[in-house]
Amino acid sequence: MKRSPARFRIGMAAAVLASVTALSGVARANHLEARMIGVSTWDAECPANTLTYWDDMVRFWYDEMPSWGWYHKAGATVDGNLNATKFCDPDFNGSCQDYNYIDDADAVMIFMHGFDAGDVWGGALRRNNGVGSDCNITFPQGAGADVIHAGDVDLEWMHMSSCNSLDKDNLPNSWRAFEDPVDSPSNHNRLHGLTGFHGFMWIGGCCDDQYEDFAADAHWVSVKDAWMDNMYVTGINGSSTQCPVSYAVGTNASDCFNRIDHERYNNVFSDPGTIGYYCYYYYPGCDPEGEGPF
Amino acid sequence: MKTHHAIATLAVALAASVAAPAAHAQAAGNLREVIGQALAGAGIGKENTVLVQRMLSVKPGAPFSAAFDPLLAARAADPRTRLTADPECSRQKLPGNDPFAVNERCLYRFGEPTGQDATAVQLRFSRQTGKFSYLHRTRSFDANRMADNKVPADAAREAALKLARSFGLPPEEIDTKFVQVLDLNVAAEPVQQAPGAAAVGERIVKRAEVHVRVPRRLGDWPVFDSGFMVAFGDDGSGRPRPSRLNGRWPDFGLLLPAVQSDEVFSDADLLARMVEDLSPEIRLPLDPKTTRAFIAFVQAAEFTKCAVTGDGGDDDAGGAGGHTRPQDLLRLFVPAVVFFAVPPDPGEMKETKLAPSTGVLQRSYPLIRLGARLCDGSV
Repeated sequence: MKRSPARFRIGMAAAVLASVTALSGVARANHLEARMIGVSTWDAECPANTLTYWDDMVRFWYDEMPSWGWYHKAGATVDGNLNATKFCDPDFNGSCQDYNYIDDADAVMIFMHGFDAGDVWGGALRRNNGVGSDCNITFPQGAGADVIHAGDVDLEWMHMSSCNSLDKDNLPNSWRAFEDPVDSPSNHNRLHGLTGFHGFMWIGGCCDDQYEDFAADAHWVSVKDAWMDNMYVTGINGSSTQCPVSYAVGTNASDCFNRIDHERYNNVFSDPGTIGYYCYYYYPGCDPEGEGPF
Repeated sequence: MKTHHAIATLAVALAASVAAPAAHAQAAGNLREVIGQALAGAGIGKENTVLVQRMLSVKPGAPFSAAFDPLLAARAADPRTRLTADPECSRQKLPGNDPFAVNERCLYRFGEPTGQDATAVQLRFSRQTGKFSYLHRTRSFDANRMADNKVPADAAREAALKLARSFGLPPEEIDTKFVQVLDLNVAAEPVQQAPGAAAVGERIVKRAEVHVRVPRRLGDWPVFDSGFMVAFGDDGSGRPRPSRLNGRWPDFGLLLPAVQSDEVFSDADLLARMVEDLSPEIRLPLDPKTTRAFIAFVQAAEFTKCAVTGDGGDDDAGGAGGHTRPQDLLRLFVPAVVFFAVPPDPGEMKETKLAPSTGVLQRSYPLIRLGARLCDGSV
């Protein structure tokens, strides 16, 4: 589970690449991994509305990622046997395999129906034949088997194309998804950034450009700026607003601000050593479907 | 929590399976009724020929592709940076067999793309798609170094509309009625290590930027999914300084020859098509309060994908005898109904927050019949 040496090599590769890039002007190594994982069609055990366009929309992000010389497409896991096993950490259940899926990438976009599970986000899986025999996966309120503890292997950026993924009232708990409480204290590997939505999000051809442009912009300005600029959407005449939120952690407030303001897909800091603060960008008053105003 | 989730979900599944036939029948009736109400609310009636003809008589402004000058645009955002032009701009052919599919994504830039603090400016644009993105990295808000943004909303709005002109956006297409001026805030809070434990540290909140979002309109109708936004920082004296700007403003063309009275859909036609299309994804009754329809211009590319023949065709998408190139569909707009709904999920039958939400479903439906004519050059 501990892959600090690999992380170090990636860091070195990035440093070398940066040097090369400074000379050549363009990086072509595509050494980092982007993944997309989620559900569009719920026609197995787990009940939820099928929205067939979802993966097409997310694919605009995924297809754009290799265009800038830093990421390659490391895998698209869509529908099929999408169960909790691919999201949970083996420190809590030996059958969990997040290290082969979400935590195996440097940037991942997760897409599935989401919900406010009280104090954390929850997502609707396609199959319940994984760990916990559960149709849901959630962010952690504490340590647990069928929850997401990301970043202890490889992941830096976790993007949620999922409703209620960063609801205002759940933000005090979202930082718990940034680490594995078993491994992270010793290997110091943690997630860097989490992006999502307060309330309901949109699914449709409307948003292809937004996903593509987010991937492109985040190579030039902070991931936070790219997410907030591109993912705020309103319907015609200001209706049905989609409210993006961008979230990071740090040892203290200053560390958190520094990370969220400056980290890009191609400017990745060392992993957060501890988590003392969380910080987030938001549109105050943003009023989506499915939640009150932020 | 895990056990409760599983039980709740299984209970919902069981309840849903028992009640499925009745619920589906109820949903089918409800879907027809609620969509019908939404269409009526949007002004769709039995006879829509006059409406369509009015829409097809709108006069667009000067096209973005002709008016946009990247160097002038960049200078308007920051007079001090000089961008280096992209030598590959519009020259690289895209993969595939379409001889006209040229990559028009141009990348003008200043500074170094890597590194944390290097001054770097990028202007990325495509005249073909009407997309543009101006990114001035070092102007973004830095919560550790910068004080609250004091730019007044009115000043930001005025500056955004001025920038729109500099970026070649036609004033007559800017929908000033629905301009949104939004604060972008940042907050930091100490974590509670254990649920219920006291958090140690202060909460910090700053007004980081002012974002102005401007939609596009032609005549009385919005152009769906077209508009621009500007993120403004504070220059230190409360005046707006553009940090980032992006937009989607494809050139506007219409399918004039396709308009015949017998090809304009009635409300009944639309209702039947929408119910057929949506019923597989909307299985439970819709809430009329979150179901909306609007008349708008929508890109033809959203409805039709033309096959590529690769035989050259006609450079003029409106000319007779050629064929419509796929990329031209981006410039062709169709009078359409844009529909929004929040389909209830089976889990929401049980009044619990453990049920998944389905998000905002958006679909568009043309008001006129589209078909082979769109692709055979007769548009």
